[in-house]
Amino acid sequence: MLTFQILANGLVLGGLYACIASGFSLVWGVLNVINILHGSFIVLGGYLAFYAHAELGVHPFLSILIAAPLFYAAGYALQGALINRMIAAPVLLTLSLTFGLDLMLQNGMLLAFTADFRKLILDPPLGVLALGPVVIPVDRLAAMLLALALTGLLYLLLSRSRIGRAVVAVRMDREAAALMGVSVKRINAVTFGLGAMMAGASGPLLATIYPISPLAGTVYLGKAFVICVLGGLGSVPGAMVGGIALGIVESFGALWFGPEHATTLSFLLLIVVLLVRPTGLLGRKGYE
Amino acid sequence: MRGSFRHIWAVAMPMLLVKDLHAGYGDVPVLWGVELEVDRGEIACLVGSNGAGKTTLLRTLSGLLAPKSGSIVFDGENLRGAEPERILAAGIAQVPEGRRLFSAMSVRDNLLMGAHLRRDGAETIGRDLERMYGLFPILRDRQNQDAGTLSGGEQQMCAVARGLMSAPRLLVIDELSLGLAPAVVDQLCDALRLLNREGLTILVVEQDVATALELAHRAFVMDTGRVTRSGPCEALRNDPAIREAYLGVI
Repeated sequence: MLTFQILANGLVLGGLYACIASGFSLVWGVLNVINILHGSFIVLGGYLAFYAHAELGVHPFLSILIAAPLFYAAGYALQGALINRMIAAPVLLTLSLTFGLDLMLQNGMLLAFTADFRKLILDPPLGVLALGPVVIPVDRLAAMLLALALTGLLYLLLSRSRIGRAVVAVRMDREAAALMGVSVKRINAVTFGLGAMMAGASGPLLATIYPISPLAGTVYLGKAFVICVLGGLGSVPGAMVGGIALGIVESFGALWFGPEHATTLSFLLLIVVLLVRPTGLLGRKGYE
Repeated sequence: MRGSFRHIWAVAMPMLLVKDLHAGYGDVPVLWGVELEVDRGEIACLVGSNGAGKTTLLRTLSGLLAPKSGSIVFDGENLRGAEPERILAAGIAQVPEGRRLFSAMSVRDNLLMGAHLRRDGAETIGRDLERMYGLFPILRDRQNQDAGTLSGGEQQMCAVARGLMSAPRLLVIDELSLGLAPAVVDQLCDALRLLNREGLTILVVEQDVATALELAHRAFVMDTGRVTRSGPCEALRNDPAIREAYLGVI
């Protein structure tokens, strides 16, 4: 019976992981930029939800609607103004750039929000859902469903819309995309904007479950990294599969080896996947 | 003013006029003063051996490569150094060498990518999609399949159709027949002739000189970065020097 409970925990965790990783994977796959800022964007989204809830009484799920356009605009501007200038540079240089920006953002958040841990507490609490012996907190379940819905929306946007098709085209062949009249620089900015949007939108979801602190982004970044490699780079279905797989592995790992080893286990999994199937579980297809 | 000027241009000048074009990669010059002109309604071909600079010229024409000097004028509009986006909007579409389809995208999505810049509504674009399926019926059967799963000939049809989806006035094709079976080449040539009769101007780059001279009205021969010969295809077909150098007959 415990198995089902752990499996349910893993699925809830996995849904959130999928949402965290999809934007990171998109940016990496399309722009060949490893965006170190991704984790801090999530944290910043969490703070936005925390303060909107504390000061204005906005439900964290609703603050996603504020966070998404704000982070999209910020990401678009950042790519257009800064990262586009060195987009052709080797991946290590753009990584250094986003690493530097991340240090600035982290320290900015330390100044603005102090190093205290904060927890968004819903009042009244949403309670728990009992399915036989399996018990799931409703807030977690709702957060996971919303996370999956957001990831699904991103997938639909990329596969069905004109702008999404252009993003996928740039990912597959930027020169051929340019010949189709796609402005590659603009699509770069759109892509980074979408990545930031996914991070900013998952912040409020995670804030309902985990405490927020300025440096918590590093953990999320590590997860996103593992999931990307696990599921296959630059694909939303890959992030979905990788995220859920990681969620389940971590939950069972915590049961069998103790929760302190969950992270070690996830990186161990990463190494195994790299050895056995370097293209990730879902291969190297795009967002088709 | 601009309108009337372009009208005069349209009557007096060729559709595409390339003058003294120099281009290259880094410090390595490839084009040494290329001269080329394509008239409205014709099929022109550009032939020449490997390394003559044909693909470099086409990369310059499409805006992927910025020229060092010279001029590219299309319908009275100076396009030298313009971005690919502006060149496509002006009416020049290019089918790149090696097709360069978006391989993990469906055939239909590839064709829609061709229409990326168009703003004339889903209905008109849908009608053009139908036209493409009429031109190459196999694409209709394969429309939901990934482009990467098509045979070489089908891929070339898809690439040509993708180029046409931008509703260009000049279609530029790099290496039409490379690696394709003769029957497929015939089918593609028939389609191009049909499009040409409907008013489309075409510039084809070909390594297979015999095919090119048969398809086109006018030919330009490129050699080491310059256009060294040009004229009606018939005249070039009967030219002993061309016959010896490119057609393998004496």
